[in-house]
Amino acid sequence: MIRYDSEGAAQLRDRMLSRVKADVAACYQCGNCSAGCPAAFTFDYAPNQIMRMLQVGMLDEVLASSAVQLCVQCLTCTSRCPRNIDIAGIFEDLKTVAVAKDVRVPEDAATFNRVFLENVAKYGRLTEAMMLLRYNLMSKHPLNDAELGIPMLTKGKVEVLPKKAAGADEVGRIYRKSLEKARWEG
Amino acid sequence: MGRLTYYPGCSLRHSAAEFDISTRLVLHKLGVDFVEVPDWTCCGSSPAHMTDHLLAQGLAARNLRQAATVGDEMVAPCPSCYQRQKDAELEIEEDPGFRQTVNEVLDLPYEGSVRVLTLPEVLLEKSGVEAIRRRVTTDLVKLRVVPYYGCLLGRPSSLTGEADEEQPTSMDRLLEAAGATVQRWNYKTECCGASVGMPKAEIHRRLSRKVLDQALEAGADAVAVACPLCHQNLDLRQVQINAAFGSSYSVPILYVTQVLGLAFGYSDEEMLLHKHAVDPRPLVAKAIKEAVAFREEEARLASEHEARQKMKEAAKQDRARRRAGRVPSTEEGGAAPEEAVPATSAHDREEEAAG
Ligand code: SF4
Ligand code: SF4
Ligand code: SF4
Ligand code: SF4
Repeated sequence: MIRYDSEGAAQLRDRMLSRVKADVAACYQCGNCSAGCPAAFTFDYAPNQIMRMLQVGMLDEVLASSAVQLCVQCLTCTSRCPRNIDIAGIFEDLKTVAVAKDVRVPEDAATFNRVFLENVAKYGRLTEAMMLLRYNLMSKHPLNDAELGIPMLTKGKVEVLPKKAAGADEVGRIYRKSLEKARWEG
Repeated sequence: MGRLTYYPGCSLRHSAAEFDISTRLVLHKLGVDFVEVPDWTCCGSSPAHMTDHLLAQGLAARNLRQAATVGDEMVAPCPSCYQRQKDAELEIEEDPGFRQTVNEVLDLPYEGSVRVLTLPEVLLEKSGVEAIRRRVTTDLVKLRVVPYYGCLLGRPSSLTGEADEEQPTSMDRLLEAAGATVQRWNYKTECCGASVGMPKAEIHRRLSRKVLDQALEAGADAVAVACPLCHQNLDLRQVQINAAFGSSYSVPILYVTQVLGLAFGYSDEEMLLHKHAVDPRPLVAKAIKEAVAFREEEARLASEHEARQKMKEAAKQDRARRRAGRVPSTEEGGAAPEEAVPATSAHDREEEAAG
């Protein structure tokens, strides 16, 4: 059931050329990107399949794939592509498109990113509480003394009251202005 | 201007304080002058670049602008911060139109051109292997380590300047200069699965276990890292890896700057070794003790060897003298006596052994 949308494909190719400076048409399906990808075992489509889907213009399917969300941006694919295609750059760009279009961004990841950025926009620097939250979410289980209490809390790694960094207000404005523009362009 | 500026980033301010402090002490010891980026703010890390490109570049550009007020180079020890800022540096340098776009979201425009460097790059460029070697006072030859670069220190080489993305060498060179024994392995740049804010636990556990496993396989006692996230993943989460796989790893994870600091004679406390989940202190103490014993043994063997050489030399002279007595002149005889008359040399060897 491969649909080949030549017009859509051409548009998509131009878009990737201008946004990421990567030419999806250059991919010859060698599969190196997928072979080296440490996260592909959790993807619905392997990186080379995503590349093929982009070549034939299947943008919506790609945006809805778990691959785009689960890519860990390790850049292994980019460094091993014999055609010098920045595959990781394409994945990164697709992530931002998915965010802008609000397509299938997993709830927890979206919430995390928003909370993270709001924290930064407010304090200018990441607060310790935010770091703990990140750790907590990443390990997908509640904090407990044996793992965090001892290594972090009792070792003076935690700041109790978050301070606002001197540049915090400007960071807040950068955050709002960029997202304004993103909405406007999207 | 021309000063080197130092961007600690949030991780080094908090959970990776030992990386921050060991880095500052090592730079100081090596005489590398630096000043902290005035009023730096978070680079936004993965959440920013997964959300919006302009936001990510704007946050990084603000730091570049702040650095430009006091210098023209910036070192960001955290590879994640490094990558964000380097990426912004390159895009802004290459595309004046983009610089303008970024400046629209900043309060004050960034007009400078600050060069962003990785920590290994700074150590090798501003100091170098020879200077490091000269400052070593504690012998770490019995500390067997593998350098773990993670995904961001070597890739992409267009950013980091490593000649080979799969086999970077900057950390190897630093650790060797510090006198540690660097084991070869193929997992230098294998991703540990944590570069994105919130990966699947499954991915990072599987990948981190492989890294620990391969380190032991390579004959290492510890892993050296230069990334706060790698450290957190391999050190703080080792208990989780063990819980998930029923394994019993207990591999100390050291920052490369802690290894350098120890070699320069800083104490365990000064290098904050007690902050790690897997305590590296017993291993470090053992390695230092073994190195002393090893060097003593080496000296003993060397002096024995020297004594033997002296004896041989004496016996040889003795032999030559006696031979000169028996055969007055060999100069015109052609063949060397040793090869020509095996019986004589065997006889001499017996004498030598006896005397
Ligand atoms: S490595 Fe490059 S050429 Fe090969 S399949 Fe992947 S993208 Fe295509
Ligand atoms: S960057 Fe993403 S797609 Fe590429 S190898 Fe890493 S995880 Fe896979
Ligand atoms: S990448 Fe991490 S450590 Fe670096 S500045 Fe940002 S949040 Fe902070
Ligand atoms: S933490 Fe892991 S994922 Fe991040 S840079 Fe280090 S190796 Fe890569």
